[in-house]
Amino acid sequence: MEPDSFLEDCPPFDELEAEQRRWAVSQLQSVYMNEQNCNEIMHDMRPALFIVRSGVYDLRSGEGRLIDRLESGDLFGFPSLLTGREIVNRLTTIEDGIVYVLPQHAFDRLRNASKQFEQYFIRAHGERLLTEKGGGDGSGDDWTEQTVGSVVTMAPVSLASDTSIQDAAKLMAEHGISSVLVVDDGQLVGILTDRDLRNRVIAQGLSYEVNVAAVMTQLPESVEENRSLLDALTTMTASNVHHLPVVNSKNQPVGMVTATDLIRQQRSEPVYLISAIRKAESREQLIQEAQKVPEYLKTFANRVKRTTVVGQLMASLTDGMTRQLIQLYEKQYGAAPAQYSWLAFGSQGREDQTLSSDQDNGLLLANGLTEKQKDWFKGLGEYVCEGLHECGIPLCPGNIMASNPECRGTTDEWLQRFKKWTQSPTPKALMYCQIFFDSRAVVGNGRFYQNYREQVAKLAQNEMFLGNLAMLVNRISVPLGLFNRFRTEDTDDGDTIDIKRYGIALINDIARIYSLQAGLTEPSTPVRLKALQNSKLLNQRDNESLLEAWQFLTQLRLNHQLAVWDTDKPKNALDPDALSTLSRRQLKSAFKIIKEAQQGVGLKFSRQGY
Amino acid sequence: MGKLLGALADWYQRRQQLQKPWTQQRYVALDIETTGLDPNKHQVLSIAWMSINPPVMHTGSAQYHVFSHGQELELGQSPTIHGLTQQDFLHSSDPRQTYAMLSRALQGAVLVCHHKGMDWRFLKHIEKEFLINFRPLGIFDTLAFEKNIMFKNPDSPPKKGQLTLSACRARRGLPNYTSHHAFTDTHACAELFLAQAFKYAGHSTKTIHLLKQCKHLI
Repeated sequence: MEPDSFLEDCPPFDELEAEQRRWAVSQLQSVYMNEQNCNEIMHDMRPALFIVRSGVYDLRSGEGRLIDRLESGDLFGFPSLLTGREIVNRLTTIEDGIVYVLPQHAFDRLRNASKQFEQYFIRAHGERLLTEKGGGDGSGDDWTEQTVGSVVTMAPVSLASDTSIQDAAKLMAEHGISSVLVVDDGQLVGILTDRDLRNRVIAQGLSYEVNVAAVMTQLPESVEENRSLLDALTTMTASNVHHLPVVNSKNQPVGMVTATDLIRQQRSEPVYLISAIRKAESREQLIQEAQKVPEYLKTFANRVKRTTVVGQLMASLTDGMTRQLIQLYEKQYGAAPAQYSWLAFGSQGREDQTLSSDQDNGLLLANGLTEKQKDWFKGLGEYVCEGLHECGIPLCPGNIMASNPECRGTTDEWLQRFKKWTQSPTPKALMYCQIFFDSRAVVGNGRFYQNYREQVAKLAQNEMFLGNLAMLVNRISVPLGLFNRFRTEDTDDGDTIDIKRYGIALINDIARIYSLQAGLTEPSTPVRLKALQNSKLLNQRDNESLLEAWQFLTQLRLNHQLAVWDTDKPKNALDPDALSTLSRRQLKSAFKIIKEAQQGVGLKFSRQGY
Repeated sequence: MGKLLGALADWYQRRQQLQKPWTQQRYVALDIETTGLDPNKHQVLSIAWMSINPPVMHTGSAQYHVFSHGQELELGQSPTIHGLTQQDFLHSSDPRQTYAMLSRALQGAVLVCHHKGMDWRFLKHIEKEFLINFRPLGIFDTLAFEKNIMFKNPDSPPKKGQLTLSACRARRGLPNYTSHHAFTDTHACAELFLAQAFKYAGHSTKTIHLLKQCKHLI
């Protein structure tokens, strides 16, 4: 019954125990607020917490600047409750209505009684609403969140690259280990495993006096200790290894993590799904396994706290399917005739893929290919894109796929293209840049790709080009109206907001501009922002805000997609009125952050300034 | 003679009281839920009231009482009539104490209800049964007010459903309260009263003028 039932859904009152909330109701007054009496009421009743039940009011600073448009479920007056300072803000009434008033003594008592209640106001006061309730319902521990460092127990056993094979074998026997790290001057240079000793030493009849440098795997894949277990898992599947050296941020080895360690850590099954995909021996089998992905992702999404890992997992699964399809193609048509990389662009590249993301991929080929060699890659592109389509990854309507000759280029051709785009940024070129700069090598030689990618990064460090990208970002306006009200689009599915186009994509665009300027080669938005932490252009607080907004929107989108899965409803657009009061407030915060960040890149990168 | 003079003085005082601006008056919004329409046959199930000093409603100190009537209570059509369940009747109030409280609350205040007819009939019946006086300064009927303001033209009388509490509230842009319950309806009625009064009366309009707007009942 009113007003208890209203407060039950009104954060932070929803955090109170039923008993505490009933007590709060017993302390309430309510007022009918209109243009004539609103400032009088605020003056007479403060200090108090005001809770809008109905009506619309504008909160303006002493100088008349609009701070917020207040509607049902919005709170005001709390900064002065927290700080004891006078209220200087003024109200104007847009629509009359009912406002609940909770006096200071009651507010203080609730603050003392409930930590969550108090925390809410402290965060709201610091305008850090998005950090609350990091996501999900926080049930259980989430293995994907754990860092690699937390499961590495043993100190690394290592040796120098000039150690003899025999000494290395002795050391491994002593410690009872199947692999050992090779470290020179504190840097990880290689890894030596039992298998290397068998295949490259004994089978070859090599002398045991030879240095391990000759038989070790050079420059192995490794994972940084503060990355998540999911990252480790992704790297292992990507490079098809079971031992992964763990290094610190200075690339100094701190230990090793194995597939067994990961399986032991988790109770859920991403490893099994990924390995089922890897073990598929025919195209039919692969497609069959891939069909389990949406159902699986749904249950997985409910288990993890930070749902952004779902985007990563989805990208991992797509990577796995791609690799498997390539191997199946190779089985049929022979090995690749030249060096190449299979590239993932867009959301797969950034690892923020969703269930409805379509394919964005291409091929990076060695220079100087013959026509016959090109034909092999043409076949590969067509085979894999068609295969992915059958696995449930929709074809790209913009035809950015390796099956399209435009998307199969040699290193020189790709570089030439990027050069053209960055030097004469036509609207179409800029659009391509937003897709193609977010690239990642899924299959192929890592160094071959990295060399190329670094050259691309250099091309992007062009003031005029970045200025144009900044202008493009500012051309899309955040769906907040004049009074910070949501501006929805009238569609067949009701009044909705496309949170991908007006939210996630804009943050991706903004993060991309900063990272291109800094010459970074990472495609993922969170990783880009992390790498930009010491940037002079983007301050720490704005950086964090952008990441929080991105995580919030990604999560909101995933929850929405899971809710409308199997229906015709739009997958990226949602009705803000259908959200909880808290989510609506957070969505507004996120859009405000994006709006400011847009203006920020406008000012910093574009000469016109915005 | 003394008695007559006393009554006259009382009448005069009340008359003076009604000359005050409506915003300086105290009001009591009230709602009664009963088992039926006839006070002689039916019983009061629950009663709720709340004081108002415009524009403030004393939400937290609103009263809500449920009567169990010993064993003889019949809930009528359904066990959850007016949102009340058997559970609610476990914490029931004593009627005499409750009505005495209401009598004090109404002293010197204007009664506010939606469709005063029935509520007033029951209050009159209670007066006789418990030998208690309910003597508000006047009655503001939100239904009659709405009818007189919105449906002045005799050629277009209100259609069925246009004068219900929720229809009147919707017309004033007030939120939709779904539960039908004495406590909720009291709040709903109080809010509607303020919305109506603030819309049509100036800050210093006399109480008596405001009350005259709802003289004519349907």
